[in-house]
Amino acid sequence: MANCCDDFTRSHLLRGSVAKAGAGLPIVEPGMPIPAGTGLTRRSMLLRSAGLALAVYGAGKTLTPQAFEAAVAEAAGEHRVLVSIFMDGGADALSLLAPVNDARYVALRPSLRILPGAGTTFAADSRLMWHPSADGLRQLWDDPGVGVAVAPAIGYDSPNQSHFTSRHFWEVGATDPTASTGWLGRYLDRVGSVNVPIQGLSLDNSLSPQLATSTVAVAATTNISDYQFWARGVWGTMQDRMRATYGQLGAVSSVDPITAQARQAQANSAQLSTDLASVGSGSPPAGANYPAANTGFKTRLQATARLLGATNGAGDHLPVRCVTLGAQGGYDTHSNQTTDFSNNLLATASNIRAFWRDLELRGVSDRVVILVWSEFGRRPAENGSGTDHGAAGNAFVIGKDVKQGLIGEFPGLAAGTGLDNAGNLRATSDFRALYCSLLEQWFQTESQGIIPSAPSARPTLF
Amino acid sequence: VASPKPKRKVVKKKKKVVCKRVRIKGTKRYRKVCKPVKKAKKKVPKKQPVTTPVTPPPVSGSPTPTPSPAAPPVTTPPDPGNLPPPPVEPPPPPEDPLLYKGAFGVAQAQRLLWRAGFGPKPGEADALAAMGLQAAVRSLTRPVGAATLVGAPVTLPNGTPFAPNDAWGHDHLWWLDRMVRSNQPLVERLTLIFHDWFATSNSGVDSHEMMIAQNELIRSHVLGSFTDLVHDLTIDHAMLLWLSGIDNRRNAINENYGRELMELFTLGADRGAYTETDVRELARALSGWRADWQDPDGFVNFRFDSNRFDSATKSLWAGTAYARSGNFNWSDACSLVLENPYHRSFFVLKLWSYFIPSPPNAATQAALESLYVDSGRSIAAVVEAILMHPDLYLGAPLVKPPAVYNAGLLRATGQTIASEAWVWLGDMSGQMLFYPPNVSGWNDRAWLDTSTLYGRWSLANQALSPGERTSAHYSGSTETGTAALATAIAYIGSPALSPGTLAVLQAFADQPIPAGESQASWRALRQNALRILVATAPDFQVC
Repeated sequence: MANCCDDFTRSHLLRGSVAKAGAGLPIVEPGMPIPAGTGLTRRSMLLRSAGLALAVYGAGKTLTPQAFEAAVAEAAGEHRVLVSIFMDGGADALSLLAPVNDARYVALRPSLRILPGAGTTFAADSRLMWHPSADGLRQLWDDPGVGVAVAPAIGYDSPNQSHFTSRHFWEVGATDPTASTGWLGRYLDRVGSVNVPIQGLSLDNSLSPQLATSTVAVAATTNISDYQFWARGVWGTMQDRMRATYGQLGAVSSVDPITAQARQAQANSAQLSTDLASVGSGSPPAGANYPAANTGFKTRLQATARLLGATNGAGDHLPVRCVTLGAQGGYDTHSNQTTDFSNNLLATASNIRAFWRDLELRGVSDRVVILVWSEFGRRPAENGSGTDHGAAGNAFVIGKDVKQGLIGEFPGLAAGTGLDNAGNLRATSDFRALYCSLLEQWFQTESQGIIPSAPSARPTLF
Repeated sequence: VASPKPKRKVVKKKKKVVCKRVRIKGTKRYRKVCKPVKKAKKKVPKKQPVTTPVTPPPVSGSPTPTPSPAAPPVTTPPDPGNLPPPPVEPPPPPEDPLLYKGAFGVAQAQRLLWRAGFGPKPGEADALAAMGLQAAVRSLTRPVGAATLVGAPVTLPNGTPFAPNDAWGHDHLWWLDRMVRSNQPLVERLTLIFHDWFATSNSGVDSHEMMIAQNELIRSHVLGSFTDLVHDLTIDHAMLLWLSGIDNRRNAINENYGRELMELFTLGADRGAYTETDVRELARALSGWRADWQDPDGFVNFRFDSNRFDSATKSLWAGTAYARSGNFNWSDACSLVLENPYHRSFFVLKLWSYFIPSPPNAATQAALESLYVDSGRSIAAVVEAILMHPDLYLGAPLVKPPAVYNAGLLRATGQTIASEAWVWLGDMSGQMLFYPPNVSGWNDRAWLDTSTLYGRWSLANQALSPGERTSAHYSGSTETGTAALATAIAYIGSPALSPGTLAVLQAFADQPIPAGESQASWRALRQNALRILVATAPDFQVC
């Protein structure tokens, strides 16, 4: 397996690789001119030439408030949005859509199997049954006003069973441990604006590598309604000057790439603060019916809906294009699977359903598609109280005009046709093909240049 | 029925450490304290690196060797037509390329204290600089006796009792307090490093007591042998819960710990060090540990149960020159992964990456691997060499982990823990202690993004609040912008700031007072603003 040649961070060592921007660009030494027409700035060149891969979000310079407003205006518009929801840890496909009447399933899952009748039969393949905690997804499936495409066994050839490697493959949109930009990051590099970090936003504590770009700004925050910099004992004119200076410190050039990263993040933070100023903190519209239980996922989905529904002073929606967030809980159920999986899936599925209603009530659902995915499924044979890492898993695409149906079929659990030599579920669809469909059919851009070496067959999503 | 801890059976290299069991205060638990035997130090090659016999592929992400900035210059052959006169003096001894030979002043001492600890308290960098590089490093790597916590212990407002074993977040405060007050900062920093390396989260353990016991276990080994650390952590109670060790039993083999032991703790993924078959075989060797659930205490009575142990033959590294097969148990499993030829390079590169953000050159990598192996897997020996390496002083700065940034701000401003806010502020800035996001530890790429930077700003705001200036502090005085900036920088501990940063701050400080503002009030606002701008300046997020 190829090893990265000029890339060194602790995270990279740990995970095999993690998405980051700046790598993958031509090497230019400090002092050399920047190649014309690359769209690259001095800063990204310095980062690259130092041989350090950094999660730098774009290479923009700090703008004056006037120029910033102009940039936002340029980027404003009714963009199509993808909300990517990640079920972290490897969600068990054979519980989510369970082949409850398959004798092999009963044998493989003597204690963990979902019992027939516990949930609703999956209309597109009667061998499968929705987990009772997935009822939020089932309701969306049954709703004629929204389409749900379901991949019952999605993955890739030669499945990797490391969380971190497999997740990386999905994040970068390639089975390449050294790839450095996210698949959504490359999309934003093509269509985004240099200085509009809100175009790619992780509603999480940190930026998702899916959004790692080479040239344009992206951002992360869970705090979209109060992202304002204030300090004790500072107010009025001094506060305005302090905030301006905070942004200016992000625009100072730095010789070393680490400080440059710190500066770029600071510049983006100052911009994001301005960009989010119009997003309020109100309650979701009546009728969204979020579940009563308060979870971080619910809070972040509600914030996402507010963000997508918000308008700026000119009455335009904000220039958001890609949003990422983590689903409720963790799905790495080596132990105690029955309880943990059920609780986390319930919170995830019921909140996704409410989020969709929220978008509909705000009148923005026709601009939004949701992708739900996990880095792999779990081993069909249980280990007693849980399951170990497996191969093919589930993915869901949800949207107003999404063509309801299957992405690939459920392969069954027979050795050879359904399970591979290691006893793991075989993939019947490829995540890269799914990404290509989303790019081509939703974002209406060529997948070439964004998803390398994807299979030529594409699921029809719209 | 509990069986005794199985003896380690795998052939080991001659131990070059002495260990004794020491009872952990107030518990029935023992911990092992190991010290390198003195003669082992003779083996420590400070000079030329020894060529390693086995050279596995580099750790994933490891770079092509680049010339070290401190590498001796290549000598140009003299022009034969213009031969220099024969040397009058004998040639100097060959330079040790692993030893930093440049100036060791306050700036270098500050960097050392930020990398090997939690930044300087006032005066500490000067004192360290006066010692010179080697004595300064050894004062950190070879502490004498037990650590002392200097200054006021945790005191919470409104009489809130401090309850690290029980109250939410007080585990974070308990450790942050040690980071602020310990007189052995490297021990705390290495404990943080190995907390990240063997990342265990209380989200899966649900016991402050077990998490703190694991923390003490790590602390007792950080200057000892990695062999002991791996063995003891494998059967640490928090770890047995976190990675399903107590669920791993004969006929219900659970791969969780076995996979991460190799992927994240000792060998590294995607470099050919092990196969999926090895994951399954190693998991079988690790089987047999159990515990009992007891209301309301949770899991108790952790023990090895031979009835749960898969006693059939396991085969590891099949098809390689170092293939092994036998009735291995958990202890053998630990020894076997450490003897895997891919381990040494993984260990060295991973440990290095916690201190230096650029890769070691090939000679350094090889020398550190030899040092590691020859010292009996001594962590301290390798750390000491890294802390004296030219790359630490001449290379790019390192991002301060949020907990280090937090402790450093408190140390610089002479504070100890007097608020529970540090818990959620730590979370906001990306590092809630005892809650790493997953088994691979914190993602240090996430420590400088728009989300975590907002956390750092909020954290600095809290750290600066006790010193908040009001107009009363400035009544009747005058102060130039230059003087105001100097005061603010000194208040944060006089960090080195770049000319570009200083120019922006100077321009800010020099802005005229708006009409109608009082001089004293304006100066207080300006000083408060300058302090947080310095404390959050990009230059101060790195070291």
